[in-house]
Amino acid sequence: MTILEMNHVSKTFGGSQALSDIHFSVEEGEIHALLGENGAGKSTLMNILTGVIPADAGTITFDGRDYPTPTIQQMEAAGIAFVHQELNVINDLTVADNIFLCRELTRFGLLRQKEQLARARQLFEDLGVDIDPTAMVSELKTSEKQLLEICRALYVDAKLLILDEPTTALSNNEIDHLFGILQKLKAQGKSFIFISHKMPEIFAIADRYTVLRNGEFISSGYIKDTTPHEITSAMVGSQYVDEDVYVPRQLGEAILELKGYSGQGFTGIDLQVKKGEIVAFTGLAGCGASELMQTMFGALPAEGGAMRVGGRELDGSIVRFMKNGVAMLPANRKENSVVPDMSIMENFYLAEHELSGRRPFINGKDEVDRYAAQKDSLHIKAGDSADSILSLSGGNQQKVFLARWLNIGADILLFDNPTQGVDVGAKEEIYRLILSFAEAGKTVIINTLEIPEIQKVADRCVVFYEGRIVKTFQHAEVNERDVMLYSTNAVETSEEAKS
Amino acid sequence: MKKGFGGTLGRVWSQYSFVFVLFIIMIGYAFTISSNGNAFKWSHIAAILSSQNTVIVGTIALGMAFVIITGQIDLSVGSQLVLCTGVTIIVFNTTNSILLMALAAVITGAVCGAVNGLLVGFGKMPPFVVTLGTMLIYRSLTLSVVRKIDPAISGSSSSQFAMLSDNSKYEFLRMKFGTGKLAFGGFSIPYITFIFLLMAILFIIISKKTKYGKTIYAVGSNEKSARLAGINVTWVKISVFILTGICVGVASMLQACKIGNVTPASSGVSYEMYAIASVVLAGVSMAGGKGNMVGVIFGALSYTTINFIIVSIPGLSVDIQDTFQGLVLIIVILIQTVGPVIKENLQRAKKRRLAGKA
Repeated sequence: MTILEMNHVSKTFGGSQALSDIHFSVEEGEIHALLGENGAGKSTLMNILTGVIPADAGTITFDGRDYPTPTIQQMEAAGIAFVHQELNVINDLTVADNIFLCRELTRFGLLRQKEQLARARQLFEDLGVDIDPTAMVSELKTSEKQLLEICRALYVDAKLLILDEPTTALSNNEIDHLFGILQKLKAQGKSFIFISHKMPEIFAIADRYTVLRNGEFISSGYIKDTTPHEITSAMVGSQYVDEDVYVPRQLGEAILELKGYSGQGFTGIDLQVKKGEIVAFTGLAGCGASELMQTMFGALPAEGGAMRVGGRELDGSIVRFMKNGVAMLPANRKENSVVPDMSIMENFYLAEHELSGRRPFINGKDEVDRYAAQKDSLHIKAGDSADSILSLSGGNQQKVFLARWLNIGADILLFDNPTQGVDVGAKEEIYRLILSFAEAGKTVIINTLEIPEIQKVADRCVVFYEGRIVKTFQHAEVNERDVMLYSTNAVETSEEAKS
Repeated sequence: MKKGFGGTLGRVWSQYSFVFVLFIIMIGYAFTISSNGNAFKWSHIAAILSSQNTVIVGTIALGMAFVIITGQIDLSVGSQLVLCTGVTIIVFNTTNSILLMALAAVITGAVCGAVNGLLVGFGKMPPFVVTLGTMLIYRSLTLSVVRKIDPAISGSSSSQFAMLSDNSKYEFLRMKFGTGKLAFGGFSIPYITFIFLLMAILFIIISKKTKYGKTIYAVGSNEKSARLAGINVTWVKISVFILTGICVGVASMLQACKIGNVTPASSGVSYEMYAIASVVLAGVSMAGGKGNMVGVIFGALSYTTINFIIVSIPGLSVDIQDTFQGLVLIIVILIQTVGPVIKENLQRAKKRRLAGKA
């Protein structure tokens, strides 16, 4: 029996088509994988289903009833529960309190805690979940929190659960445990929409799949009739790569070396990078590449192995890395780069001051000259350098931070997701700049999820999966499909399937 | 972007609100004086300039402003002042040396500040709690010493530290420097006011012209960005407490010279609140990252003037004075913080109207 049917669903935001004519259906008692790249329209579709945003057109039928204009309350009451990627449990309450949050059992306005505990115990027993209802949520493991959230949804008798990348923070054992419980619930007739990028999981747990790409329905079918390669191709499509700015260059000596380098979220990284080379790190969110980059700048502690720059082993504080010519443009500009109360100039010179602290006074004229030079070479479009940094567009802000690091004379540049929140034109410019830095003999490592970006600039592409390097591609070998296969670990999955 | 008259005025107001605040309060003061039937004279302003609320609290407020700009708070300055002045007076009484006395003042202050800073910086404890603790500790330590100490050293037998008038330097410190004035024409300005102004200029230079000064703002504005720009955030946070301690040290010299004594049980009580009030009147954001150190001079003067107004209103009982102080403070802050919010709401409403039309 079909429990959910969405037909001809369309949605536009401003001028852009987020979803067009989507068909999506879920059977009772199945786990349905909803697949697509970032921006494919998965979240929009789920937000429409749960009543968060209205659709422009289309019908939704759930459990035999039509919902022409669903609201959040209606869909919750109908039995749809959304388990978000970032967990919505409250750490400072007990497990039982969390389950009954906002639907507490009361008598004369007082909590019936014994009753709540008993019911929570019963619920856990039914589901085969081993969590103590009296424990504080802060003491639970991430996987237990994930289970708790699912239990919470089931307590209100949800019929369809949407799991948004539920395994991101889980270890393999924990994933197995979660999957065991999902199987059990499935047998009881619960349905699931399972959003994930990880091929091994999809092939382990899902019954059917639907692929979206750029807001369009691409394909749907049974997992048992398909292969990871086929799904990856469907997700990626044949993407148009515009104008090629890449030029091969003569590379210098090896300047940066990682040996058995380990830290938070990555282990045993071995890598050599040559002077003037552009290396791209890529992988799914949480693959460890960003953490590696932060560790290579001293922002996170290394836990093992060594990083050598020009033969010199480097560790300790950020300033030590800076002194040795390493600079990092962090991801999430607003949170990690922008000093909002300061001017463009002040944002520009902050880092350099940490290296020239012996001269404690600011030499205004000197700073103006330095800024003018960078402004020219990076084509920063800005008025007065005394204006607030917030007066600039995202792309120009990012250029100011590029300038911040070029100003310290760094020759190893780590760029973590440098084109995030930057418009298309400015992106192109940043790619050109990256290439020109390499031309000038600087070594660039960029961490990005966007594969066309890698094709534009990188000499080499290093793919990460769960904290390890799984594959290295040379420039000519980089294509979206293969990179996706390795970053979702689909390769291993299909090999396992064969053997 | 169009900048109408309102926009320009708004910007000047938001950047130099402390000047307007002082101006308005001064007018209020002149008005109260003349309604009492007196003429508003330079001597009234000289009194404000030499008041301990300006000079002593103002000097402390300089350090407090740095602490607040980094997004922290120091509640222990009043108790620090008592402890520092105690030590300063003891050193004077036993050595009769101005140099040693000044050194003792500054070093004791720096140590008190360092204790706060290290607990906050390395202990990763909230500054509010740490300085609440040291506020109790510093005062009670001083109290417990003053009751037991030999009057020949403390200079007084009545639970007080007092400068010994037998010491040869006493005359100079108290009469010439502490309460003396520089007179020119019909005007006179107390010497100790110059010390406050010198300190203020020093702090203004640090905040505007040095690399270290910029790190204070950066840490308060966005700690994460500051760290990732290579700034040693922990050190910056510790250092502002030490600087505050040094300010308290200087203030304790002024207290010793101006007042001549300190009573651990009652001196410097609520000075942390007065210092914070001065900083707030100076337009420094309590959220950190923003604030002009020039404003602290104005803030301290404004705060003193508010006190003078309240005292000069006839028929106002002493008990109700704090109520008025509190009210004025709240109103000023309300104007400073609510103003931008109202402006933003108006802009947003305008945008919505435009979007509606399109």
